Amino acid sequence: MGTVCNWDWAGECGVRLVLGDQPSAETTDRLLSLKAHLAAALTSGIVDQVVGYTTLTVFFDPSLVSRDSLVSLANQWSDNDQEQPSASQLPARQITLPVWYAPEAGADLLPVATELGMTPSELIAIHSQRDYRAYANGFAPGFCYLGQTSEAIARPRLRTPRRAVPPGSVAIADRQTAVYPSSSPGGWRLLGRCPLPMFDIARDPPNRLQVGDTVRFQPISKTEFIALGGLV
Amino acid sequence: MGLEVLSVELLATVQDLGRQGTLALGVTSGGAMDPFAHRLGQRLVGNPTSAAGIEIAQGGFCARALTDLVCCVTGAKVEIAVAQTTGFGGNTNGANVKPVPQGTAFSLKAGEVLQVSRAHEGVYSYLAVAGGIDTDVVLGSRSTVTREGLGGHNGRSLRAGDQLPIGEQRGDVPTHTPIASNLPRQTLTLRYISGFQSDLAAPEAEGCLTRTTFSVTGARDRMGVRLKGEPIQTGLETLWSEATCPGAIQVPPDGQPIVLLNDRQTMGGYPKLGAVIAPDCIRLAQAPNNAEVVFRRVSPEEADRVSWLERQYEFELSRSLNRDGVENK
Repeated sequence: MGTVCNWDWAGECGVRLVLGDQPSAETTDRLLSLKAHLAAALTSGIVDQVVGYTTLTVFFDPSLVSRDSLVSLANQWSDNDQEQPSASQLPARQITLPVWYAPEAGADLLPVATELGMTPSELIAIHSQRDYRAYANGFAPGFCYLGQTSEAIARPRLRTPRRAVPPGSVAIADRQTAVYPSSSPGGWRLLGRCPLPMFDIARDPPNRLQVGDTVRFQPISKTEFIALGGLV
Repeated sequence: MGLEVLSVELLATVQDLGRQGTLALGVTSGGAMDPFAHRLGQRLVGNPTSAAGIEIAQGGFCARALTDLVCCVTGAKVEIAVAQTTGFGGNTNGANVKPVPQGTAFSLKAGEVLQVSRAHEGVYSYLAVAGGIDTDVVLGSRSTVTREGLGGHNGRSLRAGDQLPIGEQRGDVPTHTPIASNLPRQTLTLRYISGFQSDLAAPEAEGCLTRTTFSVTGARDRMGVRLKGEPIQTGLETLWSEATCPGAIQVPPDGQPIVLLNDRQTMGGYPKLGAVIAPDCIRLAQAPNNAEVVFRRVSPEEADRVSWLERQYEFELSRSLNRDGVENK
């Protein structure tokens, strides 16, 4: 590995650093390590750092940080990174999200199972018996892209997205999975619902999931869903 | 201290300069679409520029003072009038309506009604109130993001009956001649910094972007402005989702570019060829539908020079306010 940082501008106040073509747990580790490196090296001038699947976009104040120094800091990290066998030793949190999988909670559970030629229980087992990595936070507050799902349950998005997906919907698209934090339009296929809020401004940080987390879904009953605060 | 909304024609929201450092949470920046006009208005009522005001899209807004207030309207050109109410519901007697100029502070006594007409020129007007709109600060800002139900007045756009708290007036209100709005001309040159997938896209994609005259379509809101013109073929499929930025020139499969603005989603998977520089994002936000738009590529250093000049202009303008003399309220 040890790809030297590829980069490009993201507007006059942003640099987009690219670490690979395909998302992977390793790429995410490296993106987090680069993010930490820049945050430590530049104590002022960085406004925001957004981790994507294969990119780290750094937003900065050009009056406090020169573009050249930012890019050379990133390149300096790349050089060091090549010498280190393991890119980072960042502790990954283990998060379990309870999910009420049922046709009543996930409108696509039965159609997707039918399309895949399996029973809903088989689909639920494949979705829930796997650890996912949190690749990126974005799109909406509390929306976290998780991957990768088993190839055996990969399904494309709906051709016409739903106008409103129920809050807490647990969904799949291609080899990704996520929880819709609030009611929003969405084209992913819905398998169930998670009763826990994914974003709460009263908490710090407000997002339940952080990039780098290891996430597993735990099937629960409707009764448990309600007991955990889920609204039916 | 308070202000009661009586009517909103299209869209009015509480806005300040938006959020910083929340993109990693998936929370968009938001904030006034024309921060220059917003800051000017705040200065004209003696507020710090960080105070919140009301952004009115396309004009059409009516509100009653619940206490004696000092107000100012900047941005898109509108007619402003102060009327005495003659009963409940803001019914006004035509004889008691007096016009007030835009770009300078005026007083709105308790019970009086402020009427803002539809916009004649430009899109976003700003109502500043001395003391500032004092709704709760959420993640560092009072700006409303209606899509997320976040900030502002209960996370939503304003409607009749809403009572907005006004903060304590601290600063002095400067006296000066009314300041004309700085609105874009008919053909708009959007300076942009090439970036994102510009190197991965088909070589002719950026040529098509800079050679085509686009027009502003009605498909526009606080999230972005969709343009219409010769379709741009990027030759790229949907990408792995990555951060967007203000002004990002996103090209979906139909080839019609969308310039992303304040309330954009923080992440997206469509190819982007670059980003329009901040001062030109303001001009685009204020441009009328069907306005002609061309793109011109600039270097990041040229973008810095442009923003330095814009800041200098704003600095001189605010200094001239204080030179004209200060009136204590």
